[in-house]
Order: sequence, then structure tokens, then C-alpha cells
Amino acid sequence: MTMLAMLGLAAAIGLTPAAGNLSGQIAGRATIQIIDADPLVRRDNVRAIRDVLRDASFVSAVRTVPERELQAMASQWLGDGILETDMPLPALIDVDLVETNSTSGITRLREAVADVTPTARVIAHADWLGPVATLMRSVGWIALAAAVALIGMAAMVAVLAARSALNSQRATIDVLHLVGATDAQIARMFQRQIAGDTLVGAGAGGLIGLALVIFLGWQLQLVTSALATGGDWLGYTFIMLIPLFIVAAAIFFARLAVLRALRSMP
Amino acid sequence: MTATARTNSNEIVRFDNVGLRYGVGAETLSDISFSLARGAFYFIAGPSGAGKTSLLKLLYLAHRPSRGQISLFGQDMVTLDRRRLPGFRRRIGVVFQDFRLIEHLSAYDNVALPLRIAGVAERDLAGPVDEMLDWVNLASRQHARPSTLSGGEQQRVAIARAVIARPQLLIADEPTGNVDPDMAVRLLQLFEGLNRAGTTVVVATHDIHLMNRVSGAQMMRVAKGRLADPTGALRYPPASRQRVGFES
Repeated sequence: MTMLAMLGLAAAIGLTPAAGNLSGQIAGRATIQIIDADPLVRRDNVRAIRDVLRDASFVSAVRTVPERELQAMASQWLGDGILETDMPLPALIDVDLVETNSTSGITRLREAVADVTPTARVIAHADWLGPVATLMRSVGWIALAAAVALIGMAAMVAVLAARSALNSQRATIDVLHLVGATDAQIARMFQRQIAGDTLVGAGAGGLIGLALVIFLGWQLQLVTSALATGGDWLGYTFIMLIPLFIVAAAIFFARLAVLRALRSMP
Repeated sequence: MTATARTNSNEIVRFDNVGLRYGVGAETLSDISFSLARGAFYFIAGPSGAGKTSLLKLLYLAHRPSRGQISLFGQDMVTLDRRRLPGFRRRIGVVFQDFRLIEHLSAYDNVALPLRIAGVAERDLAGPVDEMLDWVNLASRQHARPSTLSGGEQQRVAIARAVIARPQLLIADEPTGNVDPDMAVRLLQLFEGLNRAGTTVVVATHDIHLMNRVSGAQMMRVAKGRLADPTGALRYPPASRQRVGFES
């Protein structure tokens, strides 16, 4: 349970900023697709659009995707034979906008391109990568909720263990009451027992969980270094605190359960 | 039977028209009235199922009565806040027929338990616990777990635990039921020793021979949940009848 809670929190801590990072990167970026079949017209249109955008105040960078890059992309889908055909490929211009958190830049870009080349298409990256970022954010929140639920479940397991121990130790409790033990003293004994048991379990789970988190974090960085924001010390601190949270929650709720049960005794 | 009307400063226990009912059934104890004098030795006799153990449970504060008044050490126990009960329980020692030792604790730790509960520091435990184990001839068995002790040894550990905190009232429920006759006599001698030191002793038993061995002891008889023989004809010895606060 500790291990799963740590993985859940790690996912939450890793995915939510990654989603934010992804959103930040794609929000101010667009690609203009010029789809004229005639290569001369296509080239003229590319030039016209570049001329317009070069002086536009809302644009920070313009880059025409080289033809070799286009062919390489197309050949990934259509095979190397594409290079030997006369099939026209659209020209692509990548545009970075000044305002990355506003849709007004995209609107102005669309208007500017439409004025020069009505047939060109403006594709905002946020339109097709946005749902991915939203999904990542949702998965992050679900993982956080799962981590919290697992900590709660660990506490409930401790409560059940305490109740079970209360029943099995009823004779001992009666003796302790008879020799003058207070409810708090008896609860402390159960607390110690629960703390010891939980500490062993949470410690073992915590070590495995930490090893997995470090391994997965490393793997994630290898795959999506641009998205991963892992490695920040605060996140790892929270993850490493999970076993302690679980032990503390187990002790707290077990104490409440024991005290409540003891109060019902003579 | 009526409760004594006297209020005696020498009185350690007082029951007035006490009734005890478990759940919704008939009363297990009815109209129990008596008082016990400080420093006296009492036997509670009666057949099995008569209510002796229930009466003792009221005495050692394991239960509260369904009705009536119980006063211990001059304090009303019926209305006493539950949080104050441990303080009074520490003034009472209890010995059971089935010993009720804590299995995972050694003889030493079982005996030390009341002192630990009372907050005595570890460094101050050894003296009294060793002395008590010596007193019950179990110094050499202090590290033994209860399951490795004989019945007599377990009973002596239970007695040591019951008296280590110097209780003002010692209650024993059939303490000789699980030991041989020789051990029973030795246990009784231990109780008499405590009684001579000022502890009020109440022993529930149906062993008439045991009762006859303690001079000066007084007897109460419980039958069908009531105190029988309030005239004291069965009290032993007759010369000490007046020490029990019954009135016919």
C-alpha cells in the first residue's frame, strides 16, 4: 500500500507539471500548411506568408520546414519511394507567437495568413496536443486521489487491526484495567504495537516504492526529457514522507478506535 | 436484611441495597447491604452460581451496580466519573482463581505491572519487585513466563502482583481453587500476613476448611444472589460478629 501510494504521488507530481510544461510549449506554437499543388505557386505563397509574418508584432519566430525534412517525414508514412514520385508535398511554416497563453495570437495569425493566402491552413498545436495535456493533468489528479485513498486505506487497515487486537487482547485489557491502567495508558500500548507493525510494513514498502520511483523517473526522462520535470527535491521529499504519513495516520486512527472501544468498557 | 445505619470511619466498603443485572435478565444480585471494616479479614461463601464472583466484581470496580449505592474508601462509586476509577482500582489488589497473568510478560514484569501503571520509574522497580518475589519464594523464577510456572507458582505471582502496590483492600476469588491443599494453606498464610499489615482482605471460597484456618475472620454467605444469614450465625468466629456491619 505504501509502495502504491508512493507511485501514485510520484505520478501526480510528475504528470501535473509535465502537462503544464507541454501546454506552455504548445500554446504559442502553430504550423501553417500551404497545400497548392503547383510548386511555383506554393513557393510564392510561402514567400508571401513569410513576408507578412516577419514584421508581425505578435510573431516571435518563423521557420520554413526544409523540403528534405518534409520528405523524411512523408517517407516515414509512405515509404522511401515517395521521393521518386511527383506527388506534391505541402509546404510547412512553423510559427512561434509572442503571447503563449492567449488565443488572440492564433486568431491574428489566421487573419494575417488568410489575407495573403486564403487556401493556407493554420494549425494551432494546442488544438491537437491540448487534449493530451488535459489527459496527463487528469491522470495526475487521479493518481493523487489514489495516493490519498491508499493512505486512508492504510489508516483503516490499522483501525481494523487495532479492533482485532482489542478483541483478542480483551483478557489483558481487563487485567490492565484492574491494576489501575487508564484508557490512555492502554491505548498507548496498542499504539506502540500498531506503530511497530506499520513501521516495518511501510518501511519495506517505502524502500521498494522509492526504488521504483527513481527507476521510473529515470526511464521517463530518457523517453520524454522535454516533458519530464521530475527530479525536483520537493517532490521527492513528499514521496519519501509517504511511509511516515502512513505510520502517523495508522497510529492516530488506531488510537481513536482503541480509546472509543475502551470507553465502552466498565 | 437491612444495611447498617452506622457510618463508621473505620469502614472501607459500604453496600446499600445494591442490585446487579447483566443485560435485561433477572437480577444476579439483589438487595445487597453490608459494610466492611478497615483491616478485617472476610470470607464470602456460597455455592457455585450464587453470585460471589459478581459481588466481587462490584467490589473491585469491574462493574457498576444496576441500582443501590456503593461506597469505597468513603467515595460514592456509582456516580464516580469513569476517568477517576483507575485511581481507586490502584488501591485494590485482586487475585483470581485462574490467575490472569499476562502471558507474554515474565513473572518479574507481571509483578511490576501495577507499579509501572502507577508511573514508578524503572530504576525504582527492582527493589520492591525483588522483595515481593522473595516474599512469595519465586526469586529464582523471576524470568519465567507464566506458562512455564506451576499452578501454585502462578498463583503466588498473581498474589505478588496484587499486593505490590500495597493495596488497602485485597480481594481474592477462589484463590485456592487451582492449587493443592498444602499450597492453599501457604497462600492463606500470605493473606493473613497482609491482613496483619493492615490490608482488608476479602476471600471468596467454598472451602470450609480454609475458612476455619483463619482466626478472627468473618464470613458472609451469598445464596441466590442475596446475602444470606444476616443474623451472623454462620460468621466465624462468633466473637467477632460485631465487626461486620450487618443488622438483622
